[in-house]
Amino acid sequence: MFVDARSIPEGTVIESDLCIIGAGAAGIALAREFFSAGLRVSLLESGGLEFEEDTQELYDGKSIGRPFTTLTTSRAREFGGTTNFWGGWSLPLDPIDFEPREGLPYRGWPIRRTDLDPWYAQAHEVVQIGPYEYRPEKWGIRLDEIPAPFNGPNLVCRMLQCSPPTRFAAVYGSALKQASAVTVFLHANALRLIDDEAGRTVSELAVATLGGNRFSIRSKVFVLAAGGIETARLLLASGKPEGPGLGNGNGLVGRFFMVHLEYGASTVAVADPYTDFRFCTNELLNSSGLYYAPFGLKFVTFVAVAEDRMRALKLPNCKYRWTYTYEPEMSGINALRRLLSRSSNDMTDDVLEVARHIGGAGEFAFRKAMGWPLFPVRAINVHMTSEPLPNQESRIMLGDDRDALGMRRVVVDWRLTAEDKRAALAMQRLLGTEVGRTGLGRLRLEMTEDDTTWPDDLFGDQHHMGTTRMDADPGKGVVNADCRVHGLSNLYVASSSVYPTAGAANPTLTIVALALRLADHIKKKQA
Amino acid sequence: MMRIPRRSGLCGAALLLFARRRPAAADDVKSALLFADPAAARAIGAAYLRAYPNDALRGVHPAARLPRAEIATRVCDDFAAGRVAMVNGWMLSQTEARLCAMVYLAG
Repeated sequence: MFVDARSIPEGTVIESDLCIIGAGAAGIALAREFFSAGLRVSLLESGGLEFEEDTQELYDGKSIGRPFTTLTTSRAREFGGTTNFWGGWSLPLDPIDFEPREGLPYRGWPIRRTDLDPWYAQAHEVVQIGPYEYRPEKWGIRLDEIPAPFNGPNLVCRMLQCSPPTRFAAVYGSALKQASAVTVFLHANALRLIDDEAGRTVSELAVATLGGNRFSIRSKVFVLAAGGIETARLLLASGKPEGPGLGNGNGLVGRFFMVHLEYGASTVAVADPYTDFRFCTNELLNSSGLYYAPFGLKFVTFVAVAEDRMRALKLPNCKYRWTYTYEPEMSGINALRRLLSRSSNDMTDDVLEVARHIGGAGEFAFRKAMGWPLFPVRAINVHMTSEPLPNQESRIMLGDDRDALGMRRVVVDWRLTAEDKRAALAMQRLLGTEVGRTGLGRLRLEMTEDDTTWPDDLFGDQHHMGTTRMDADPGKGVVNADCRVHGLSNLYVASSSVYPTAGAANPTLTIVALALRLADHIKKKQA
Repeated sequence: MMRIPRRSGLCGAALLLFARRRPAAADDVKSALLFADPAAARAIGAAYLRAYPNDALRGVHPAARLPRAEIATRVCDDFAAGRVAMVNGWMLSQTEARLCAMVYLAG
């Protein structure tokens, strides 16, 4: 059932068994698990069914560290959450991402990848991707055709799967609407979680709408599923007045804020222009429709550092992806392709272009007939997605400014360290060494070799993580291995905010897997 | 007159042209390292000596007397052993960077 919270009378108290705050990937995946669990579920969404500017504006805040300018554009405050513009890239975190690592502080989850494997498999169904299988050879990639050095032992070909992408609102909205056990409150903004006198149980959630009415929800269990920034914001704004916030006895809520680092890092001049790059289904190839699709679904390959090498070099995780710069005769090849496919807009121009590059065009035709790599590559332009190192000084805080509901706005102090930069350089040195050692080409570093300067195109993507990190020790984390907030018996977090380390995997699949695991935990506990 | 299908004709032309593929080198570093362009090698060599002024080449570097295949092996070994030089942002093996330096010093 859907209820517009703006129609709820002022001061109403709603009773619930499970109250989920946030109807994005985590909240919706969680709520679906309770359709027939015999519990009354309240699912709160700040927005409506469509984008609303005044609601989205509630996200706004201030950046005081490294510029973080995407507070209102990197997430969606509407039913379905950020899945409304999610790109769909899906892959699990690697086993190494869960491990404590020598020489890399603040690493290690209190759970292992094997603990999540069953939930990852279920999450695949939720985000509508193929089997829980990420070995490239199982998807039709011929390992023996991958050129050195991308065939091991130091660098390896990896892959991710592409969700359609699943728009949770469109795909799961009608089932939620029909579910008698679940009430979706639209336009319902969580203002503050109120705990009992002893501070061990959350008893009530204060809710407000931009229509002006306020009400509250009492529930046996509360789950925060509001994303990596708002989850911390709400915890900091909750609890006793003038207190540090809920779950923040050790001052950890909002700390360790991480986003994946995206930047152009290097160029590799390729020795043999016909190096076989067909294993690498990057975006450029995808836009030409060249997917490998043995399961009838799409995937994208990339290059990563082998786990053993990551350990030996004390490197965080990363993805190497690239675009191509082609040899000049590519223009002749393109003209020839247009002529062959009868899609030429100007046949005279295209014939002349083929004539100008007759060698390359002829070679293209020959290679096509032989089934060989077709396009002469001059260089690959390497773009990195690299894992940020956990840093407690990188954080989300509450500012003095208030939003339209009177709630304190966030202040983002996003920071990177010298270790982050050194790791980024080490990733390029490894790539440069490997392409040189194997004769693939030579690498030109596009970054300065100091500890602080990043490429101009560096940006932190929309993967907000770490602000309520998971650790078995309350002194080191905000939630425990069950995603329950330390010290509180009935408050849980379903969000990438629980990630103690970010890995290099796009986070949505793990968010959904953790939400499904949490649903199972809550059901067992309530039974 | 017999008509040759367009596609077959182009494939045939490609076969004829295939043998005269131009060198792949398209930028200075590639040319220098393939020794296709002495000017490019000299430029790399000069940049190497600026970046590593304390590398006393001491006359003819032993690698210069080696056959090309042996040089290639040494280059691979350099990369494997981490004997690399950063020259104008390029990560080069010590052997090839020194060879370029020798080309530069030889004028």
